[in-house]
Amino acid sequence: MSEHKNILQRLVTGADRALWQLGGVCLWLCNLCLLAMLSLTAATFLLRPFDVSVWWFWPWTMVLFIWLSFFGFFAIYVRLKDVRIDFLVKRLGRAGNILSRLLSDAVGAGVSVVLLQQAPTVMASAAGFVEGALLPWGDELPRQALFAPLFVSSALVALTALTDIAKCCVGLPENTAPLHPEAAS
Amino acid sequence: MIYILFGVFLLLILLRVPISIAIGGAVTLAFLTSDFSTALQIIPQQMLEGVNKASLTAVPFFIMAGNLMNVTGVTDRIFAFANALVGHFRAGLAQVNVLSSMIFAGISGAAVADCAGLGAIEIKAMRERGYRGDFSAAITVASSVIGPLIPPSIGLVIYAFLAQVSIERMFLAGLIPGLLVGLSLMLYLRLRATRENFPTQPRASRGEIATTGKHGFLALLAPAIILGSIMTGFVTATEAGVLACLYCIGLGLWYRELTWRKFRDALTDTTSMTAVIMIIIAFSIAMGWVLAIEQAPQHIADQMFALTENRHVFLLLLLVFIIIVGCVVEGVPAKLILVPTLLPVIDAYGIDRVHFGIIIQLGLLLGIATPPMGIGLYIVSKVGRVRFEDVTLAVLPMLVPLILVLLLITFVPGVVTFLPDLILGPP
Amino acid sequence: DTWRMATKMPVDSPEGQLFQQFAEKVNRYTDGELTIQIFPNEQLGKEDAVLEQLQSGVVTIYAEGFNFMKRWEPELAWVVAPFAFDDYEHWSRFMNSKLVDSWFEQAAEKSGIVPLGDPSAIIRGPYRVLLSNKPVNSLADVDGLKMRMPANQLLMKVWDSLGAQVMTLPWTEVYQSISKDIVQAVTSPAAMVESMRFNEVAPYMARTNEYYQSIGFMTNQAALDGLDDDTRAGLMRAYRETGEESHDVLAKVTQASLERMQQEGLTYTELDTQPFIERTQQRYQQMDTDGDLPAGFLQAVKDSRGAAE
Ligand code: NA
Ligand code: NA
Repeated sequence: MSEHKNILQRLVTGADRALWQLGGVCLWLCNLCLLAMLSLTAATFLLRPFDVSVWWFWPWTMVLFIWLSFFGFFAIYVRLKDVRIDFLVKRLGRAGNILSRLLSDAVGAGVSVVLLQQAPTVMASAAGFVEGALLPWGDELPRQALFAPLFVSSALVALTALTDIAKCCVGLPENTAPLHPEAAS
Repeated sequence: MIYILFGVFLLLILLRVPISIAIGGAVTLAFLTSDFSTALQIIPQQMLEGVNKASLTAVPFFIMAGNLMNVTGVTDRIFAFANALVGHFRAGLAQVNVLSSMIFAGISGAAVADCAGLGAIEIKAMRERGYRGDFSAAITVASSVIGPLIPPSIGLVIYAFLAQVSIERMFLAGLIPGLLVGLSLMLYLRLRATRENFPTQPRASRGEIATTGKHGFLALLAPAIILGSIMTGFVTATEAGVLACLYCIGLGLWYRELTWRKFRDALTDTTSMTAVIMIIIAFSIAMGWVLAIEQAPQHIADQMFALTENRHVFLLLLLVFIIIVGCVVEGVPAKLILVPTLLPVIDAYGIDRVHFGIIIQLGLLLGIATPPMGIGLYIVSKVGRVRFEDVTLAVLPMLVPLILVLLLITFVPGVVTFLPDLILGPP
Repeated sequence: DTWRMATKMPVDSPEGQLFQQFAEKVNRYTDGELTIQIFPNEQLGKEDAVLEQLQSGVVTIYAEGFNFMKRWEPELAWVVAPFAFDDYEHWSRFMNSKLVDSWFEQAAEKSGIVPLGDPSAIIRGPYRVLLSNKPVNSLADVDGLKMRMPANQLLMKVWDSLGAQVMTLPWTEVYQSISKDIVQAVTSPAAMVESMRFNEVAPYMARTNEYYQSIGFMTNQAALDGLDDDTRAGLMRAYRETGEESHDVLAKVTQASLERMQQEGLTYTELDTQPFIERTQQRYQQMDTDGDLPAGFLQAVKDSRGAAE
């Protein structure tokens, strides 16, 4: 099959694969955030009997949680981790399938482009610092750092949606993933 | 406006748009058609508001605990022990299915971990024993409803933060209703077994009970540790989630079941599910902002109040409404939209917020077992390799005991509030 | 015009009722030209989000403590400097000094947000207390006391130099933490103690006057400038009267709450805060020498003290 692909198809496939890989990177970023949250929270209550409390633990746990959520935005989109209800579309046949695919892409692209458009305004007004989220050199984390992963993810979601529209146009099938990872085994 | 939003959201979901994107689409549309079409920066700002909530950090850890139990074989041990205890009952393995879920519920905070992990074991065992696939899958879905009622529970964490009630209180309130759901399903199976022939198996010997009990002892200790540590206040809800994860990791290492690969899979499953929930929350909070600034909840409250002033009539209407919403919208986004909208009404009728929290929790949970949005049905049909339509039909009669329990907790508030009031004192 | 006013407070709290009266007065004094629509209970978001909406003009007034303005002018963190002022009047003069004016002007340039009138007018608290599960009667009792602090570096430094062992915890977890002796004490506005039920786990309440607080009506400057003179005069009159009322209302509410709690076994003491002020003064001097204090801060504190004489 792959030897019959024309240049356009190969380009689109390449972009698709790159985004899929990038989704894996984002998933790992999320995993690292979760592991760090686990460690900080565990340390908090394990140290408590010794009257030790590190005051920047808690603010950083929140920051990591926000990063996990926002990096996850792209990861779940490209890796198809979100729930999709397909019983109706299944009955609508091929036309319904294409309609639903393009609709998903259009809404995904639309939402993320709107978010992305707001990035300059949001970043400009996100003054100040995350209280308590201390950096090694003694400053606190700027509030912009909380939004940054959301906008990075939005840009990547938009790219993914547009790539899938391109795939649809050149006749390549949509990516699929099992509804739940454990179902695959 | 709220009705249009709801309509768009539903339409998108039915057309196979991922839920998080569907709610994002609805909220974007809401902004574009409101007075705030030039203030779209509020969407990302409110999304940050949505995820920047201390109490929600418990969510990933309650998910992770369930996933870790599944990959470390703790789930198998729970199943084996439940089997030794009630396997000889009529419809034995179906009873085991329910009892396993009740034990599993004490560690896991989500229903999907029950359906996907524990469910895989249960359905396989039941089919090997000669049970029909659709029946096995159906009782798995029905019993997974117990998970988010018995603490810990992600849904109750979210409700607690929306309604500004303490998490501990909500958790205690869910315990008795959760047990009641389990018992009602077991009673249902018992009654059904008098008319139908279900496969049977011999009673386990004292020795077998002792052996599986010994094997499962450490696993069975986990719910006690978690619930106990939250109730005594030694740890916060989030810390209890972490404690559960550490305990499961410890068990996995002790049983020599936990490999790096399994750990990695559990981790990735946890983060993806957390991200899905959190993105839905993020968009829902943005949605809540538009609704609040347009003062939609007050209007709805006024309309509701105009309908009836009788509290019982209102509660009945509310139940029907919640169940319908639960059929078409997943629990987390449904709660995020409904709770802030309904709270003023609930307060106006003098209904206790803790009581209402359990009503809405169980009411929406029924939705995992009903089409079209029955996420539990989707999972077990894949896990059990059964047709979606077949499980859907097989689960219908099992909804009867669930609805009876829902009616009981709705009209006898004491079932819900007794335990929290006893342990934490009246609110 | 309709202005949206955001607040954290529930409608039925004393502060929430003050805001309601403010809205009614504005309507009356401006002959209906200006309507204030109140959004209570953080309906529109928490501080950061609301301040961002305030900047864009979606929200016109945010009624909260001024120290959140420090995101645009870090010096404004010092308007709640602990143990720097003798009494409310001293602090109020400081809040209206040239120095603080210049801070607010700096912040306004960057944010387009200005305080509506006298920034100390609407009192909050109405005073700060320390709740503990063992008696605290003097500075010596603070030594080694495990205290809950918000993640605020200035407060932590000051209480650390007073000898306390400070821990940061979310506000909502304080009750549980005291009941388990994870922390032994918390500082709070007096009016808030009963609703947080701190008295149940920490039955010793000491008035510290740690710092003075007001509710700032942070206002979108463009919207304020857009009002005609008569409407603005009506708005300012409503604000002034609300400020005066806030003192009576909070004093009454707090006294009643204190009496109820005392009947349930609360011990109330008024600390001699002079030792706290002196010890902190040394710390401030040291910080001034190190260049950690805003230029002119200590001088302005001193000058506004002098104005009383
Ligand atoms: Na549970
Ligand atoms: Na089950």
